[in-house]
Amino acid sequence: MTQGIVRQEEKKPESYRDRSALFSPPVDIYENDQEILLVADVPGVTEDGLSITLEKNELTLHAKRDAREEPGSLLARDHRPGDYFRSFMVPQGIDQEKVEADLREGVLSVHLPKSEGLRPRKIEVKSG
Amino acid sequence: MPFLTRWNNDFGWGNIDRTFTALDEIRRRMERAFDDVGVERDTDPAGLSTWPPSSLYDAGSELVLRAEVPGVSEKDLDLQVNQDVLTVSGTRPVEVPEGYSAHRRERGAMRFSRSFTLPFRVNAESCGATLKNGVLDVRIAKAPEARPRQITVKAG
Repeated sequence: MTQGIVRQEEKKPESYRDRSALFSPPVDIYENDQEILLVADVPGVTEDGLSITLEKNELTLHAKRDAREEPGSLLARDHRPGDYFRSFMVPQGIDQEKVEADLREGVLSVHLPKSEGLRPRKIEVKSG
Repeated sequence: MPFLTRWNNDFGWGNIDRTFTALDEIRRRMERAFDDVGVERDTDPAGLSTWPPSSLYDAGSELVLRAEVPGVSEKDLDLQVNQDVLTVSGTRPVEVPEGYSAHRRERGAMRFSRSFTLPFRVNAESCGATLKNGVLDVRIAKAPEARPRQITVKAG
């Protein structure tokens, strides 16, 4: 019984174990013919701290903050800054090999390209 | 967008809205689970009254305000110090990328302004700000009389 609990504990993200704050970042989801585009606010995160996994149809974002130090003694704050975690179910037909992400100004964009077969096809009409 | 949804229906893409909606319930349950173990989360990510989320630090000779401003570039930021009040304002543009339709929009485009009453007198002439990875640091020198002073103890 005890063993079972320990094993479960190990599966949780590190920051969850540490009991530091874990935020669910706000996201936008867009789509066009080629891809689904997911955009998330993750201020304070660098590429090194990013972990994006797509397993079966579940996309998981885990973003750790950079290790910048607090510039002095804390006087006041809104909340304790923490890492980010969120997962999504994505539709079938994502080309897993071609998933790409970029990070700019604390905003993460994940491009999830649709497989060839799922893209709308243009049908040429020939005049007879 | 309804047109797009219909168009894609045969391929299963029309279900995307429903897929994400179903996930909301899962997310709510997860967040409740987080609450139970005391994990903090951002309940109001776009709450304008507290945007940008900030921390204030005392660094001896200066004060540092650290604010989270994802998606805001330098040119969209405006910082002002007036007596002992620091005001951070600006705009964050969020637009649907051209040619895309939107399924979910949680990141708000916004015009924000937040003022902080500083606990010390400051020297507004001597301040600086840096923006890195969506985090803004504003450093403002304390007025000379507000700086910590070393007191020498003399043996009597």
